[in-house]
Amino acid sequence: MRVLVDISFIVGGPQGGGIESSGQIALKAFVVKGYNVLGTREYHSNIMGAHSYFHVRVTSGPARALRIPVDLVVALDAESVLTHINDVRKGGYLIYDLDSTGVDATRIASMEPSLKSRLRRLFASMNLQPTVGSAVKVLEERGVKTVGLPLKDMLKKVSDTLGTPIASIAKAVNVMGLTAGLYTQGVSLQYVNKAIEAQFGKRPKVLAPNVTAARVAFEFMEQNIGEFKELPEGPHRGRVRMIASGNEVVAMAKIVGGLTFETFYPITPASDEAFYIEANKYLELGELSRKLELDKIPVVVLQTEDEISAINMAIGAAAAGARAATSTSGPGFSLMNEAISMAVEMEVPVVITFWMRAGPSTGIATRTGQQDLLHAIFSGHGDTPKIVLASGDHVEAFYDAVKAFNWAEEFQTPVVHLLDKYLASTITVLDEWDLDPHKVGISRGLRVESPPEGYMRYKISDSGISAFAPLGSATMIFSSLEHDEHGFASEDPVDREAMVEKRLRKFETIAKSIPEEEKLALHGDPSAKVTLVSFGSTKQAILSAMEELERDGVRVRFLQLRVLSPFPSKTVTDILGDDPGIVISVEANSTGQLAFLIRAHTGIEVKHLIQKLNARPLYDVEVVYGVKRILSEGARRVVVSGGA
Amino acid sequence: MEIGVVKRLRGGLGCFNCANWLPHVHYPFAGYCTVWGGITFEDYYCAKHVMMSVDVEWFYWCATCKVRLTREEALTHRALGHRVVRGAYVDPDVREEIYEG
Repeated sequence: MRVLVDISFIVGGPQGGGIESSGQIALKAFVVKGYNVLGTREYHSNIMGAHSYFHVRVTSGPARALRIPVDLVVALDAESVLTHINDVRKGGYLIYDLDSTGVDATRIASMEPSLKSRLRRLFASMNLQPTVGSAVKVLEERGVKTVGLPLKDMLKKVSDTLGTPIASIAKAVNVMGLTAGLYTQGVSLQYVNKAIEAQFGKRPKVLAPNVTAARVAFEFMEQNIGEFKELPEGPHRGRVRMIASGNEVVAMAKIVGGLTFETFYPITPASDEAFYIEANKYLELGELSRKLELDKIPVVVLQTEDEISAINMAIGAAAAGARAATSTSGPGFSLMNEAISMAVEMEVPVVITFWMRAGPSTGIATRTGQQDLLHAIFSGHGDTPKIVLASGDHVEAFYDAVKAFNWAEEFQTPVVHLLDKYLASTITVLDEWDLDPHKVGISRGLRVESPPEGYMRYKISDSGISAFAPLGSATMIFSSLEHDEHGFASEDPVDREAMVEKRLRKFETIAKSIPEEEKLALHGDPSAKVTLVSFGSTKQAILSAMEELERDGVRVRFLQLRVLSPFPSKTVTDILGDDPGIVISVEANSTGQLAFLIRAHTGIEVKHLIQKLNARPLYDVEVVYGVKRILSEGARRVVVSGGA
Repeated sequence: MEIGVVKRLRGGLGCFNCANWLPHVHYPFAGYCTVWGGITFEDYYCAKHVMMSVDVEWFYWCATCKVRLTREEALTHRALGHRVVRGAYVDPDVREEIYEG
């Protein structure tokens, strides 16, 4: 019988101090070993220096959600030891820099003052100074195994062994800490080296110091910690698999979905998506290549001067017939509001990929949140119905990104693809069949490339949809002013009413045309009396929590809303029924935006909320905790606060 | 004597207080010797050692606070017992460790 492997760990250090490389190496080591992985980057918005960490879960089953407390914390600096003092479980490991023992929290310049105060209070309550040494002592008393690495001496050994300058101090330090950490989890040097090779490829100047650093750390652990116990190979050993972040998955989907024009203004967490498209942007032309005497054409990726330009240029490209998109997050989306209205009025098929982050305003720019659901749905002025769809995981995000283009063109309307920073920064392992580029296909809707004489861009139809001819293919007008069927500006009351009704009918057509199974999903036992409702990236934490709850004898079902606009009112009403039982909305916002939406569309009041407000990812254990508290105490609102 | 090979402090002198040495921005026990052109460690010493001072107008680096300092600020940080050096060393591939957005 195969043993269930479920390992969680954190690698923490200064932002820009090698955490990215070590996190990626860790993920790759476990993937090569045959396991499923999920890893997210939590980083500070100060660009360099403040505390950042990679949080990873490794399982032989599905790696759905991150979990705390973890089995291992690798702390590359003093701040990481102190920040994660409550994150490692009894029996777990702390790997830290032995030379940091005397560092006092109050002297760490990059540490948040509030955290310093909390640490001072915590240590004062135990009559201890707030130092790394005290933290190590506390953790040891809690049953955590601590390993102090003499990082300086180990790095000297690496330097002496190489006989040449170390290319990157940060990478070597991280690899040493990580290798020591992985030793405690049964990952041998062979797998660490494979992961280092996969990470740094054909760069001998980077590869050699890191392979040496790994060996030095592994030997240190062998000499000081004792016998190494190899973790057995996982169920996927030997398979070629891909690891990708949410940003990368969406970028890939846009390319296979026929994107030809992407605009962006740099903003966290959207920019990485555009950068990935820029780096991998060539579309294979297939049969067209002979006709055009070209093998491939590039996607135009344009960094504009601001988000207003980004959306307007995407609208212009879409009007001219390109598959066009822009990518942004909350602050940028705010600037796009006026243009979204224009796209609705002009009936232009533009896609806006909206990566939510923690607001309001610039808020915490590099952390996650789900505060923009209503912002997305109600964006734009003057009756601007649009499609809003939200993806729950990497696979959904891939197919949704393609669907977004299809729906935009089929219904000639803006489509907002709602994602978030957690999904953007989270890396998972995928099989080839998870992301099938042909599964969704490309549908461009009612389109005329050569419009006939008398073509009317806004011809009234029963469906509300008129044939789309690209701008420039005939004499035509795309107008942001209210217009007649030709597009000529008109303030005539009959024209006005006809166009408002046309756009409304189109929205009704959208609601009827998108299959219900694409609008929502009901997970778990359909007859369960406890229903969790949610949208977006909370999906995986909820699914993982449901397994835990099931083991504890609590039967729950999960209604995941995928298309939020047009809202699937009838199906949601049917599922929740006259006697909805206990309905709990799980959301990373304070106002219960999904609960509001459900009540607005169905009249059903969602009486309970599990909310995550601290801009960190939702953990499965938090959902379990929230559900149990609501069931035992009838709590209306449970705020869960995990994460550092 | 080859620079950067003596591995013990000599009379309280070492790379850590050498004006030719830039400690790593995140892991200041290692750093870059501007004379040797390579990585050395805080407790290395060589004959090219030049005692670190804040006598001239310069933008200094406080390795304790991880901030850039004017000379005036450097004097204050020094008085507080902070580790003030000529500058910090940033790995040439630091770009790979910083997220674009």
